[in-house]
Amino acid sequence: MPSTLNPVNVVTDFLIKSQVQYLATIGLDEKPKVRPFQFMREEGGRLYFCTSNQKPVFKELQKHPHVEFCASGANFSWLRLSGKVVVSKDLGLKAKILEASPLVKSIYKTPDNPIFEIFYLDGAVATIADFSGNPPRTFQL
Amino acid sequence: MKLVVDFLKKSQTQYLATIGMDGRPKVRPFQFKLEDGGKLYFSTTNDKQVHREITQHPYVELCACGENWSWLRLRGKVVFSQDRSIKSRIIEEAIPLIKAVYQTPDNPLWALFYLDEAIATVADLSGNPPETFRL
Repeated sequence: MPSTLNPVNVVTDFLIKSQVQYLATIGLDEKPKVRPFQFMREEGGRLYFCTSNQKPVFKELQKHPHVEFCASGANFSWLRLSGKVVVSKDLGLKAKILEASPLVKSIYKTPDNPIFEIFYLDGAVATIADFSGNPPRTFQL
Repeated sequence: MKLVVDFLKKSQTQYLATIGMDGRPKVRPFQFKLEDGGKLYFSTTNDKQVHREITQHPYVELCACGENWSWLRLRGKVVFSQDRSIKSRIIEEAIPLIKAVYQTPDNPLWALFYLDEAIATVADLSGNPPETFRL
């Protein structure tokens, strides 16, 4: 079976091609918040993102760990990806993420920077939809 | 206001965040329609999930990306409008797709809304502080 038929690969490919995703959280004021975000890497079937624990978004996802991402793709398709945020302290993974992204490296410098946080989505569900008239495709990751 | 309207138009797609019926955040692509009288108008279909969400939790936020790694965040309170003249303007001026979907301003499925108490923030990676606009 071609690897692209694996749900994790389909979603990972979509995230990489989209370049930017939009992360929706519930704010500390209990109102919805959304900002640009960037997918970092897939590892062991988990989708990893990163942020700084000095930002409001980190406090938001600690209080309300269920989040949703949205990204656009080719031919007016779009992805919605929801799940529960799990923060990871894996220094080896942080190092891989730093090495793969010059922007992230320029901000955090080293994997053990105490403000540098990485997280993945547990119980992740992705939906890819478009205007073709075909029903959306849902993937349990 | 002009800066925000220009940003919305150039971005083409915005992403609307709401609180879902399950209490969790939801976000999907959305499209700014037009500005009229200082109000920023959007629309949806009243049989969609997002319509139920903004009816129950009217506070929302939209996000869009612009040039040079800039981004806009726009929040406010959804107020539904029955203004037929705005719907006519949207059909005439704004987007052909809308006309294809709703045909006429009187289509009962067409829900028009604007943002009250709107606040926009434009930020970038330049190191300069974000600019905030009360609309």
